[in-house]
Amino acid sequence: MEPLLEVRDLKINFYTYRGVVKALEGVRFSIGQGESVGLVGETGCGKSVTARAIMGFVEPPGKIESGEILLEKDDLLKYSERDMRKIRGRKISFIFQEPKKALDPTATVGNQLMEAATVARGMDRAAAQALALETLEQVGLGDAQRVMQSYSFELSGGMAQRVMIAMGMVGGSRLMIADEPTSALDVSIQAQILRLLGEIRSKQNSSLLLITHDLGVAAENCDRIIVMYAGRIVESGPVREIFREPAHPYTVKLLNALPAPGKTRLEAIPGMVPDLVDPPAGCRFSNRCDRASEACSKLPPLAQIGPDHAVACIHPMRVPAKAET
Amino acid sequence: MTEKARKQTESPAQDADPLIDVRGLGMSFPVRNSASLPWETPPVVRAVNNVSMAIRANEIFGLAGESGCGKSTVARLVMGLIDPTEGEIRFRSRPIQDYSASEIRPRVQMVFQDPYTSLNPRRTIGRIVGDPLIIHTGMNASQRRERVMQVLNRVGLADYHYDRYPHEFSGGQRQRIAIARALILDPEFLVLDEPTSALDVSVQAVILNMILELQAEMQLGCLFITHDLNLMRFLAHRTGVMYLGQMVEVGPTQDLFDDPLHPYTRALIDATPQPDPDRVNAQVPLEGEIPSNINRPTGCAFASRCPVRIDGTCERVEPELKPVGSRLVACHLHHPAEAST
Amino acid sequence: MTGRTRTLAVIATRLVNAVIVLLVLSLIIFAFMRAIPGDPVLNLLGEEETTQAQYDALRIQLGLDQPFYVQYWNWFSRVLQGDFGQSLQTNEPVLPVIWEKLKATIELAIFAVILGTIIGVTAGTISAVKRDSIFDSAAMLVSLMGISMPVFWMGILLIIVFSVGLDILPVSGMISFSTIITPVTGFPLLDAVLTGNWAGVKDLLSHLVLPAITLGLTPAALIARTTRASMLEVINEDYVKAGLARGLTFNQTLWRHVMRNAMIPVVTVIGLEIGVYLGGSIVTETVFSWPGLGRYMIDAIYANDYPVVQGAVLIYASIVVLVSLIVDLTYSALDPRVKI
Repeated sequence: MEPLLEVRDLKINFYTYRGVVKALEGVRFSIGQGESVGLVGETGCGKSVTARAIMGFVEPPGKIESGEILLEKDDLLKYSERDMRKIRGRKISFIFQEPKKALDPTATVGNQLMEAATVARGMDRAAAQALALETLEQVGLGDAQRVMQSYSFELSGGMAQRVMIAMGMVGGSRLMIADEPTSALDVSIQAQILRLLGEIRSKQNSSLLLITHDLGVAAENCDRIIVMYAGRIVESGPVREIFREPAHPYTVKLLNALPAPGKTRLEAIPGMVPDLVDPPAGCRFSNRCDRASEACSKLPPLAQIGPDHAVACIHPMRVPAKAET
Repeated sequence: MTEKARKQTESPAQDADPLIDVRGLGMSFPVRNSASLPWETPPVVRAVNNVSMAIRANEIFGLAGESGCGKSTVARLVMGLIDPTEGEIRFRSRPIQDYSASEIRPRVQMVFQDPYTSLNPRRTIGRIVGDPLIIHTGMNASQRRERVMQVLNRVGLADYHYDRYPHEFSGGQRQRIAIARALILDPEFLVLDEPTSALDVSVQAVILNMILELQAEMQLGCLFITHDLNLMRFLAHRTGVMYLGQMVEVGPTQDLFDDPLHPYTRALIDATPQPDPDRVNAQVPLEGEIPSNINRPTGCAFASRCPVRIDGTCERVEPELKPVGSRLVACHLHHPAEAST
Repeated sequence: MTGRTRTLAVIATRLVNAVIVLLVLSLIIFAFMRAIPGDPVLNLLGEEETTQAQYDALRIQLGLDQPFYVQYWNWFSRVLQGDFGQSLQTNEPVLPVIWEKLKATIELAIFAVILGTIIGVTAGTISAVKRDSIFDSAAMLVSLMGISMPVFWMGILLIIVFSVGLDILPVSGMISFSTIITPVTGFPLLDAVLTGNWAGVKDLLSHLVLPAITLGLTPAALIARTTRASMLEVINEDYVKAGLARGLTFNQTLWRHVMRNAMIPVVTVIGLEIGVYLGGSIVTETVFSWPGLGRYMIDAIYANDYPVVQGAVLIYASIVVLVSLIVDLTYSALDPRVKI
């Protein structure tokens, strides 16, 4: 499958007064047409930075040091801000964690939706309005006329997230980057939004990069999973293999830390996430890993251990993890 | 401690002498805003409506529900931080209002959701944890210091943390400090309001393990509030599910999850994602939004979204929380007799 | 209640509050005037030789022999009927004179507000967008000076540079003796424009520019700082990122989504600054011999001319109260979340 988006060896540093934060290093992955990829990991693992880098949203003190972000083989990192405009909204759309904060509190929903069509795509007002109304209905906002005239404070979180999804569709994008799209929503609303994302994706054969800390959300909504730890990808593979036969010790420990019925104790991961100003040499998980050896002080490459399954570990676990459910 | 021992099935009807006994609890707030006119009666939010539950000593009672269901208001009511507009809360068979602050505070304590705002940034850990000792005990400085060290060690912190300030700690460590503060007076009852929702999974695991250990060791009664059903299933002995201020179902956790009786409980369990890519969730998610509970009409709070609503009954008659087997359920489906009235 | 009647009801409630504020204020001014040293009767009798009988007669004539509350009631009951009494100095009715002087003050204040707002908002916006640039540092330094410098000192500096040194602008006054404006509205500049008297417009503007800068600069400095802070905050909001994410340019996002949101706190500051403008206008008018209400009031204070001072302060207070109300209404226009 020809990848729609390919990220190669992305490296991002943040130049803070504490020192250089090595936020992202050697990140590489791809997303195929129609594919849903989950980017998972805990706070500070670099999943959000990765998403923002694809959108061209890395600002000082952050700096993209090296790498490529290929969208249909064109390197977005070589694009000017002017060229990026033609990518944002039209080819890649972005969904925020807090949908109500992603809408201008002083502008109507209609104003912002139509903007995506008129300003960004050069449609005339009438066509833009028709498109906006149609799209709102597609995302399940039946009373589209009224929603168009609403302000964000008049919408619930779920409605606002539907509006944000519509925004991406109005622009005609084929790749949706969703940064924790349901973390701020209630469970029953989360289920609605995730279902909607799935429906739109299968209808339009579009792709989804889903950034989440919730392994359950990733398991149920993604074809492929990328696990990040401390600015690096530790493991990537098809969703079933990641959850059934995780190979990286971190992935295993993360799964075992989840509360689940039948467990009397949760497996805790000793130690803390390293300070990225001065991360451990080699494998960044080595200082918390019970399988670590001398060899781990050398950087383990992301090595294939199966078709489409790669792990960055010198001592991977090939044993299936204990079933969770 | 075995799984079986922890989750023994008990009938709520046999509560002889619960630690906390809540009966018909109700809490209404008037909502005023800047555009209210002085002569208008403000609309009323019924944050908690006719909630009853009993929490025993040495049990973790979980209270689950989505935003606006009133679970945090229940926590504040049980703590005695606000006074209910209806109903009664009894602590060891005596109304909680009858206790003076100095009587109740050492016995009932709370851990808050956000470890970043619940600790005073200008006080050292030693003072944050040790202050209750000054107010409620006659200990001298060295006795207090010793006691604080003891509790800090118990929650996995070291002696040298005593003189540090909160900003020097991570989220998980702060929550340990908050737990130490709650336990310093050796309470009988602990309210935990989403204590791990601000934490990462791996840190959450550590804190949850610790809470389980401490609860068993100190024979604590706990009210554990969370929106995460996976968490509830893991640690609560009994669970109550709330929706729009009302208790819809209460029962032993295992029974409730294995066979949810209330349609809302079932929908919530179905909607909770599981780390299992093969889980087939054919259930259509609940439609619609959680309605506002400002000036809500009578009838079942869930009627507007219920997939198995009995038309003509559910939106008119408020279902009562009544026993069904080991559980209490507020649903007309399970009390057909009531529906005909 | 429907939206419109509700709005009116809220405005009515605010007006009632405003009236209460003015009532309390009028009592305070009335009392203060009588508490400050000086005797208007002696002022009126002047240098000539007078007898105790003459003094008493004048005192009774002016009603100053009555108890405080009777004096207050006499004055206040007439104010309610639109009669602010007569000046003790000139015997002219107070209100028409105040109105005449107020026109000059309003002209100065409006120009100063416009100047201050334009300079402040522009400088603040550029500073925020080009954060940490040379412009930003310079603008913030100048604004700090603007905030720290007393109004009178600023006025004198400007006079020394532009009038005395460069000799390009008049030193003081509102109009040259040779310029004649045909009255239409009573606002000279407006009248000059209306009658097409462009020489007059030029003369009036040349007199207006220094006092307007003097008066507008302190508020401009504060507005610039508020605008900058507010813009920087708004620029970091998710909805600005969301604007970029749907393909808008930065400038489009700035105009369409940042400006309006960033202006909400700025409007508050402008509203609060109205008091500063009016206070500053009293000093500015004195420095530039501007024939406005402020100078008139200062003269009246020296002369213990009770009715004039009472009237002028009451008018100043009414303006501040009215402008605050307008600012609150502007909020609801800017921010749909604020319902009035």
